[in-house]
Amino acid sequence: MSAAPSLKVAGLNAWYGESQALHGMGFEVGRGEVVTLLGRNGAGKTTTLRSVMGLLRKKTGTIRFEGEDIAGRLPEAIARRGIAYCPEERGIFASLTVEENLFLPPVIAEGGMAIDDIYALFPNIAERRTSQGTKLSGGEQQMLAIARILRTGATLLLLDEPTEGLAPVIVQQIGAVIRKLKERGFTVLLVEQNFRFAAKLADRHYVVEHGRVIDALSASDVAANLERIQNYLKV
Amino acid sequence: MTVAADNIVEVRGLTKRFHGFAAVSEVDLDVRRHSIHALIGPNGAGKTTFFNLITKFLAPSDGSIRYNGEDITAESPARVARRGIVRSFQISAIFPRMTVAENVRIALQRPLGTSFRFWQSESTLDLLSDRVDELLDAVGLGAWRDQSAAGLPYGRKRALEFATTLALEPELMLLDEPTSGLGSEDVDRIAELIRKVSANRTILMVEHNLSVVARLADTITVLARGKVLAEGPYAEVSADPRVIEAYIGGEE
Amino acid sequence: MMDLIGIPPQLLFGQLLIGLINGVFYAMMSLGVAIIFGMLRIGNFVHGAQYMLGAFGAWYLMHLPELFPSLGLPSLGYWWALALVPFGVGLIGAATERLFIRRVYDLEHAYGLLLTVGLAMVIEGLFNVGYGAAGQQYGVPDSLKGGVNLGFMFLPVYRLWVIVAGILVCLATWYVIERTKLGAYLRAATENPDLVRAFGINVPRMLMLTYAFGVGLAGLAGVMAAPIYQVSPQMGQSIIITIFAVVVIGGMGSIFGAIVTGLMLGMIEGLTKVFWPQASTTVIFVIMAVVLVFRPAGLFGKETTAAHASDISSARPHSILENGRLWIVVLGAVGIALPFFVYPVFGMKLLCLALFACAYNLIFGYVGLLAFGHAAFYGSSAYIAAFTAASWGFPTELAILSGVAMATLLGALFGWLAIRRQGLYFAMITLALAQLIYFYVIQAPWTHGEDGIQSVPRGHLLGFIDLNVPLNMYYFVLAVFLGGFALIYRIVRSPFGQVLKSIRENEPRAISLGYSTDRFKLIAFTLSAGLAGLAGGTKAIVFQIASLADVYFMTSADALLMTLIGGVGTLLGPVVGAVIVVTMQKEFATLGSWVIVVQGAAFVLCVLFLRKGVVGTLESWLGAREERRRLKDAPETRPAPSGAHH
Repeated sequence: MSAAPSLKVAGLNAWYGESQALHGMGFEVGRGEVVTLLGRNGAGKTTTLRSVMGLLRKKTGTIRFEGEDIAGRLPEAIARRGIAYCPEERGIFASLTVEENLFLPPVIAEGGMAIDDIYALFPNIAERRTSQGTKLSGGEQQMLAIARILRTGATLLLLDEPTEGLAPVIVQQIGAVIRKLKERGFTVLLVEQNFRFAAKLADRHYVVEHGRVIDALSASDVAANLERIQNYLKV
Repeated sequence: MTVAADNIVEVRGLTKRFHGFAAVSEVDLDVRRHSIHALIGPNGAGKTTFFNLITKFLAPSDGSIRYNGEDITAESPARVARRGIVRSFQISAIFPRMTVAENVRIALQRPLGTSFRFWQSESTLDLLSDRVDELLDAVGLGAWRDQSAAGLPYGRKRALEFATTLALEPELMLLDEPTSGLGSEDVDRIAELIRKVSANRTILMVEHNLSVVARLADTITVLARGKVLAEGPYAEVSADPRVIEAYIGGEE
Repeated sequence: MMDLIGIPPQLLFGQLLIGLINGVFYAMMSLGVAIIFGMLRIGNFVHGAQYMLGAFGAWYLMHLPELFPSLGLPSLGYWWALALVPFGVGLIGAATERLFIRRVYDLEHAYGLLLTVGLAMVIEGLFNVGYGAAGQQYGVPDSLKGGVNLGFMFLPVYRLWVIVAGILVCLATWYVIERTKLGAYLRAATENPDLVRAFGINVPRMLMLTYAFGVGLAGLAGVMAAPIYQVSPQMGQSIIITIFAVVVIGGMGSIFGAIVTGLMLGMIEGLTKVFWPQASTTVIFVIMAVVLVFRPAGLFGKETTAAHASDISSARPHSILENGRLWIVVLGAVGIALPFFVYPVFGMKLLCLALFACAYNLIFGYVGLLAFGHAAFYGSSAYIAAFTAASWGFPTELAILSGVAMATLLGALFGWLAIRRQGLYFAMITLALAQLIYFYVIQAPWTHGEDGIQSVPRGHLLGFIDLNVPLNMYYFVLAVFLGGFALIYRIVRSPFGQVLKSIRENEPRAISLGYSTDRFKLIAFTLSAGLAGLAGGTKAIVFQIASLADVYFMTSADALLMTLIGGVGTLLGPVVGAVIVVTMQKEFATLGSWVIVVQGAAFVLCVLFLRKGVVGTLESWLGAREERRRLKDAPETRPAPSGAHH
């Protein structure tokens, strides 16, 4: 591991009602790293992010962020400590304009991106400031969902399948954005099914199945282990 | 008409738009009678939406659904159920405070045609007891007969839901992720059940667990971004480069 | 002066003006209710009481020197009230949210409504104790006295001020919600509270502030209303039901819709006063019914989300307390003995209300629909039975059956209208429809208004049993009760009842099994209405009177309270609840207005601490004891896994 851990999850179990979704999930994300959780549908990746964010209450185990155990905290308290969340369904508010969506998350610390930088990174969003949030295309909504968590000063970004259902050209753009975020020093925990996308971005990968990590690879291992990874993910 | 061409369901041009975004887009799909047909695809591919369209829990924006040759596009969910299309739900769909036996009996009583008779005693339903026991035994719940359904372990609830669905003698069973949230032992049991009940009926299921799909399905349809990406038996579909691409990402 | 279509313009414009003023209050109030509902998912029935608090707040400030003579406080006039009272009422609102409402967010919607009904009864009851039914005068402030002569009419300055200020407040609220950052938080949290929390916004605090704001708005409306209407404890009670109807008509989707609908309905009400005065009190409810038929989501509402029947029953299926065959014998025996221990009149009141509560429990407990207008069925049957017996000389049994027929018909009609909407809406719609009956009864000539139909002959049962003999009457009522109780037990334990149970427990699944659940719900609702009618008709014969109280919403609240205290969805709960409530009413009768306060407090306490009711709690205690005993006797009684069974 190249840096001090930003996030460390250990022995995490989580439930939706009676159905147990995580069975001893554990992994680490170092400061400034981009780390992916890979895995098939229903493996427990989204549940992991929701648990970290405090949105899933029924859980046991530890979640440490910057050394502090946050497993019992409320979502608003976790967000204020510097974690920002971009949900799988994107969560663009229909009753808010694009600009209102963008400015909705409050600034919680210094060091967030300036609005001009954000508009420079996402020119489409600047153009459509006054549109209703959900009138944007799927790709634009995804951009907006990422853009709005960059201003707040959060240091750890949780991105849930940012490429889901998007055309290849948009996927490329999102890849470029995540690379820039890494350059700016953000720590990123990325949930993906799209391995080829993730492989080009991430420093390390965890493979998730049945609610736990079953394999871990660093970026340098990927080329030599392509078949192994494909076997985890393919049909 | 040849047997091979005998389709129980024929979907043409089925489309569902939400806020201008097409969750399901011009899907054509034929389900062969007496087959197990699996619907798979990455997250957000539109599987559950498609499922809800077929069972009429959602109204399609466009397209048609024919069942046994009849157009059912505009029918109500309860009407479709009475035609013999019965669905399961992702979250186990039981009646928690009824007993295990009552759960099954509620499904058996509809064909009796006495369901509006508020003046008759419940004991008129006793004639269904034997069939109830048969169904419960078939899913291995005989010993739980008189327990309240809420007290069953999660995997058994799934089995109960199954027995209830079977009680309707559905011609077409639609299963929405029948093994999700189950431990591996329960997964095997449910998969075995699906195989067992598939005799003489048709099953269309959405399923994430690919080992289950590989084991059971005669035909697999892969959905991606609301469209049909590929269709065929497991070996064929799993080797299809477009499918691999959909699952693990394309070359840039 | 010229007449317009035969109407003097003074009258026309005068009524339009009154309508517009009412409309302003409707708009301000329904705005608050809509905002609270949108964010908190609470049907804020206490909104009327909070409006009343605003008016009394203004009156208090004016009378500070008399109220606290020793403190030497100045009398604070209208403008002070306008500045201070909304803030004060809002603060009370914040405390209310903190202490009470917050506790029911995670519960079924029904509890939020029940809680606020209880709070409204406590607040209004307390003011009733303090000030009685008479209103207090609050003068128009000097600076707004006088009027403008417009040629065709005289426009008082204060009314002009209310219209302008009220509309400005509504527009400002609209602006804050739709155009500011604060409003963006509110809209976002209405859509997806979890995600807003995940952005670091303290949503629980927002909920409290939203509630305080909506309530403050009601307080402001109260201050503005003080110089126009009399400041009285009842002023909020009648307006809140109208507000609920306005909200159903407008639909929840749009803030602007709430404002426009409020103003529009006020004006329509005013116009109706000109052209058809008798209909003016009911017109809003009729419009609601029509809107429900053609646009169930409301004029400005968005697509309705399909909420389903909710299971708030507290019965344990196999408890001994659910064995109807046993209990009908026990109740029969107790009933036969009862007149030797209590006055037959008390016994008959108990039996009528117990049957009423059992009928209500059929729809609320066994189907899971929060109906809130059963007074309409109870009362209309009472009036029909009383009228046919007194004026047409119907024999007793036929008079009661006529009442039952009326209640059943109304039940079918109201049910058909209300079943289009679920959850809280269902409660609001049934409440508003019942209010329609109430206003009709006040005005119709044959019901004799405030007096009611009196001196109803008890007559002879089957022509030869003289019901004027108290014990004869008592045993007849007992027979009616036992018959009704047995019928309900049969309904619940019939093939039909099985389907009802499945709907209550999991409606989507019941649909997927092929049941058209709306038809089952409608039949159950109609049966429940008919049985409530049986109780009401019998009551009219027993007490020889049908009065306004029978159709008043408080009677619907009584049914709810009895069911809730006893145990929702249990066999005996409504009976036990009736015993408790009727005894309480008798014991506290000497306290006069305190009865309402006590009943309201009972509501609140039940919702917060005794949601299973007396019988439900007893059943779970018995169940737990049985479980313990079973485990102790035979630790291995869990069924063997199915593997052993094959």
